[in-house]
Amino acid sequence: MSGDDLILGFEGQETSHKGRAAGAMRPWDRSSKLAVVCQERPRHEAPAKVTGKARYTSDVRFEDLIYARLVRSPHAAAQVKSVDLGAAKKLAGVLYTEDFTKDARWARRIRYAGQPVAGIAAINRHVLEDALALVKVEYEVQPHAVSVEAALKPDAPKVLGRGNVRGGRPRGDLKRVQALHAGAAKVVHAEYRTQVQTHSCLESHGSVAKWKGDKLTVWASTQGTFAVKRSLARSLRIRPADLTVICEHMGGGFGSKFGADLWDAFNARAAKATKRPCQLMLDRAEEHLAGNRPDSIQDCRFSVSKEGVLQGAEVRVSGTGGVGGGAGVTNPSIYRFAGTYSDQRDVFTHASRARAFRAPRHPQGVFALEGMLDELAAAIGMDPLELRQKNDPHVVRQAQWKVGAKAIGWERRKPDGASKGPLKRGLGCAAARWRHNGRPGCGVAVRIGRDGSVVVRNGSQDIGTGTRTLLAVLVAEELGLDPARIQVEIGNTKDPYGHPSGGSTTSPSIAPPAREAGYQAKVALLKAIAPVLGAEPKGWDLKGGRLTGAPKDLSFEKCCALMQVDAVEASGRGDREDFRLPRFASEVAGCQFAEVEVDVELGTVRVLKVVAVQDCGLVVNPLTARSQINGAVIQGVSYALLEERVLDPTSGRQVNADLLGYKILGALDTPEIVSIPFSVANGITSTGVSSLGEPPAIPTAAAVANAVANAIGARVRSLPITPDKVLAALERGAKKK
Amino acid sequence: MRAFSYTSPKSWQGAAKALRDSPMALPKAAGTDLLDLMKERVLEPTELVNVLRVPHAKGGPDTLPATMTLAGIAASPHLREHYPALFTAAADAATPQVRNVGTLGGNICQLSRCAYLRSGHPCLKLGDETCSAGQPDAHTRFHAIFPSGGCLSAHASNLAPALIAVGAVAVVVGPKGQREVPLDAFYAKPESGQVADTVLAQDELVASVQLKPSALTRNSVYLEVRERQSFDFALVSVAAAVHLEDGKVKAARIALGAVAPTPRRAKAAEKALIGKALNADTIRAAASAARAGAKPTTRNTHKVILVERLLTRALQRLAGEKKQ
Repeated sequence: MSGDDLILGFEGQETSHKGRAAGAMRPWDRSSKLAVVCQERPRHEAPAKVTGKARYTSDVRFEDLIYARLVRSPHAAAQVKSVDLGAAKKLAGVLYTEDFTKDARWARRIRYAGQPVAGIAAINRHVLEDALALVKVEYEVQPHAVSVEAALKPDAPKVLGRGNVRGGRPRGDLKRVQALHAGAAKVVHAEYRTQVQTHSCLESHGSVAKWKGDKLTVWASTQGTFAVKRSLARSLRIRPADLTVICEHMGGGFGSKFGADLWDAFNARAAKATKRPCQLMLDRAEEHLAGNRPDSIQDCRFSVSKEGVLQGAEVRVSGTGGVGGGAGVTNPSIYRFAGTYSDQRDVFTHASRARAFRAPRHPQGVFALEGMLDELAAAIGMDPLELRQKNDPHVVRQAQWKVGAKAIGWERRKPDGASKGPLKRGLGCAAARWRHNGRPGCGVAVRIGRDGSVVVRNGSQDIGTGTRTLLAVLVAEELGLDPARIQVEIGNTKDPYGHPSGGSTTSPSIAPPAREAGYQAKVALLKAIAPVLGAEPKGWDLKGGRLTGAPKDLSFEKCCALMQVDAVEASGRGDREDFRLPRFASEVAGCQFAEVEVDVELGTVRVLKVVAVQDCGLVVNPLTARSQINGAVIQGVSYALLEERVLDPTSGRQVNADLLGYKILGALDTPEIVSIPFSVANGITSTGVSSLGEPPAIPTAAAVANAVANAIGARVRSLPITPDKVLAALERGAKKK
Repeated sequence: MRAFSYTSPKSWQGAAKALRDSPMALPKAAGTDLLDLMKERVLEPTELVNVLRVPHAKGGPDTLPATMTLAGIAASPHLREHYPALFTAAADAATPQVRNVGTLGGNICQLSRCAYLRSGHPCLKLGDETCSAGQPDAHTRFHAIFPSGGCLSAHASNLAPALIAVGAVAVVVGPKGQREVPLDAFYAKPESGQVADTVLAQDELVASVQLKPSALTRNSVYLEVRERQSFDFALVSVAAAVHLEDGKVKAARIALGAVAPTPRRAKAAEKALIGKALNADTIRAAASAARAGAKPTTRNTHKVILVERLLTRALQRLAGEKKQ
C-alpha cells in the first residue's frame, strides 16, 4: 500500500485503492482529517424560513402584479366543440385570455378531467374567478376509463387512440424460471397492489413572470432552474440568454417540478401581452393533477430452496400513469435470484399524467418484492432477516442489516400474529438500492473580498437537500473557516450552472466543484498576498481561520485586508476526471426496519418506530442528512397507510382533490424515526458525496407492511393499509384456519 | 369566492333578524369550514352574519354558549367530570388550531362532509337528481351504513353523538323568540335540495347548549376510529352513557356518529341494556342491536363491524369504571 492510495470503505471493511491520490486536491477518503465536514450544522436559511423572511415564488409581489388561471375540463374524455371567452373578456378587470384549443387539434381532445382548455389573466383573483365562471365551453362528452381494470376491458374507450396497453419487452428466461420453480422447495404466488400517490407539494406549482423589454425574469417553484430556462425559452421562442430563472426557496418538488409547464408559458405570454408582471400558482385541487406516482398490480411467483436460497422470480406488472407512461416497477431487484422473468406494461387511462416521483418505480416494486421475501421466509420457516442476509449481494447492506437489526431490537420479533391482546405489535424490514448519481458539468464560483467576505454561488436550487449549507461547508473546509460566515447565493440562472435535482444528483454533482472552487480561491488569495508578505506561498495554508506556515501569523480577515485588489475569484468546474475515480461499491445501499402496533379489533395501524440505515457516501452534514432521511420515512409511512388518489369511475373526476380527503401523514401519526446515515468512503469523486434524497423513500412502506403482517398474522397486499383492508385480511386469515 | 357583505350583530335575536332579512345569508362562527366551502363555491352566500360578537348567554357551568370553542370545552374540569363523553369528543377533534377557534355551534351545525357533495359531483342535497355516492362502484369507504332519504352522507360532527348521549338540549333563537330542541331531535332526515342537516329554519341559530349533570352523564364515554390521528374525521364514532344502580342499568343513552346522514341514536342497543346487568352478554346483545338493519355498500362493510366493536369497547369501559 503506497501513501498515495485511497483508503475506501467503511469501518471494519476498508480497502486500499490506487487512485488519483497525489496533490493538494487529494480525494477525501477514510484517512482524511476534516475540520468542518461531517459536523452537525443547522441550515443556512433556517432563520429566514422560521421567521417567514424566506421568499417563495408566491411571495414575489409587485404593485402592478396581475393573476392568471386556467380553465379546465370537468370531463375525463371529451371533444371540445367550442370555447367562448367573450363574456369573460368583457368583464371589467380581465386583461388577457387565451383559447388553447384554437390552433391545436390535440388540445381539443380531452383525455383527463382537469385538462387545460383556456387561460385568463385579470387584475386580481376575485375578478379572475368571476371570469372563469363566465367561460362557456361546449364539450362532446365521450366514455372514459379511469382505472387499469376499466381500461383493459375489451370494449374500453381508447385513451390515446392506439390501444390502452403499451407492453415493454419481457425480460428474462421464463422457461428457466419455471424450471427453477419446479425444483424449488416452496413456490409462493400472490398479487400485490399499490395506489396512485400524488406529489402534493405544499407549495403548489407555478411561477411569476416579469418582462423588461425583451428580457424576461421568471420566479419559479422548481427543482431545475436551468431546466425551466431551457424549456421555457423554447416554448416562448426567445433566446435563453434573455431569460433569467430564479428560485430562492421551494416548498417541495419530489420529481414533479422539472421544467416549465404549459401554465408557466401561458403566464409568461400573459405578462408579455399586458406588460405587467403576472402570477400563476395552481390551487390545491389543480396540484393533484400536476404529477403522480403510477399505481401497480404485481402478479408475483417466487420460489426458494429449503436452505433459503432464492430460486426463481416471475413478475407480471400492469399499472397506469394516466395519459403518460412510467408504470413499471423495480421488481424483482436487490436480491440475488437464480433466475428472473419480468413482464411490465403501461396501461393508459383517462387520468392526469404521471411524473417522476421520489425514486420512481422503486417503492411500489420493493413493496411487492419485500412482501414476497417475507412470504417465502414464512413458507420455509426461516427468519425473514436471515433470508435477506443469505441472498443480499451488497457488501455495504450486509453491514447495514446488522446495524438496523440492533437498533430496532430484531430479537424481540415474535412469530406472526403471536403477540397477545387486541393491540398487536410486529416488526418488519426491507431494503433499498440506488445509483451513485453525481454527474460532471456543474460550476461553483467563490469570491473572497478584501473586507473578508466570502460569497459562494451556484445557480441550482434547493429541493430540500440543504444546498446552501452544503456549499458553505465544503468551501469552508478548504478555506479553513467557520461555514456560518460564508454567504451562499443559489437559485439564479445568472450564476454558474447546476443540474436539475433529479435522481438524487444535486449534492454529489455540486460537491466536487464546490470543493475545487474553495481550494482555488485559497490558492488565489495566498498568491495575492504573497508579494505583500515578501515570500513565496509555499507550504502556506488556511486553517482554523488563520494563515499557517507563512512568515507572519495572520487571521483570515487580516490576510484579506492585505490584498491589493478588491477581491479574488475562483471557480470549480467539476470536470469529468473528478467523476472517474476508483469505486468501492457501485450502488448505494440502504435498509429499514419498522415496528408497528395494530388494533386487530378496529383495524387501525400505528407505526411506532422506523430505523433507517442509509449509505450516503461522505456525510457533509449529519443534521441535514438525517433530515433528508426523516422526510423520506415520513413520506414512506404516509404512502404505506394513507395516501391515495381516488377517481370516481362514473364522473372520471378526483373525489379527494384536497388535503382532507387526500390524507398525508400528520405529526401525531409520525413514528419515532432513527435515521442512521451510514458513511461509506466510496471514492466516486474528490469528495465522495453520494446520492441521498431518494433511496430512503424506497423501503419504508414495505417494512411497515411486513411489520403489519408480522403483528396480525395476515397479510395486506395492497397499499394503503387502511382499517378496512386490515379487517378483511384478518377475516380471510380466520377463514383459512 | 363570490363577494359578500358582512355583519356582526350584538345579540342572537339581531343575528336571527339579519338572517331573516337576507334569505341568502348564512351565519358564521369561526368559519373554519364555511370559508373553504365558499372558496370552492359549494356555498355562495351573499351575506355572512358573524355570531362571534354576540355576548355569551348568562348561565352556570352547564350552559354552554354556542360560540364556546372546542378547546374551551376541553379545558373545563367541570365538563370533564360531569360529561366525560363530551370532553373527549372535543379534546380529540381535528387539530389544535381548529380546536382553538372552532365552536360548539359550528361543530353541530357543520355541513355534510360527503366527498361527492364537496367536489362538485351531482348530489341530492344540492338539488341534483342523483346521489353520486349511490352510483355503482362509487368510493363509499367513509359513507353511511344507515342511508336515509336516498342520501349516503355520513354525519361528521363528533360533538353531536356525545351531546345526544348526555341528553343535551339546544337553545335555538329565531327573530321572534327562542325554543328548546333536544339534540336528539336536532337533526332532520335528508331531503332533496336541503343542504343543511338540522331542523333549524333559515333564520334560526343555536345560541347555547343546555346540559344537566347526572349519574348517567358522569358515566359516559366517547370513542372513535379514524385512519389518521392528525386531523381526520371518524370512520365510526360512539358515545354511550349508562346509569348503573345496584348492578343494573337504570338508564342508557347511546349515539353513533359517521354512520348515517345524521347522528344516530341507537335505541335498540339502549333497550338491550336497560333493566339488566352490564356484562359480557348484555354488551354483546347491545352491540349487535346497534348494527342491526345496517345497509352497507360493497365498500364499507367494515363500518358495520366497527360499530359493533367500538360500542362493545365503550360499554366495557363504562362497566369497568363503575366497578372501581
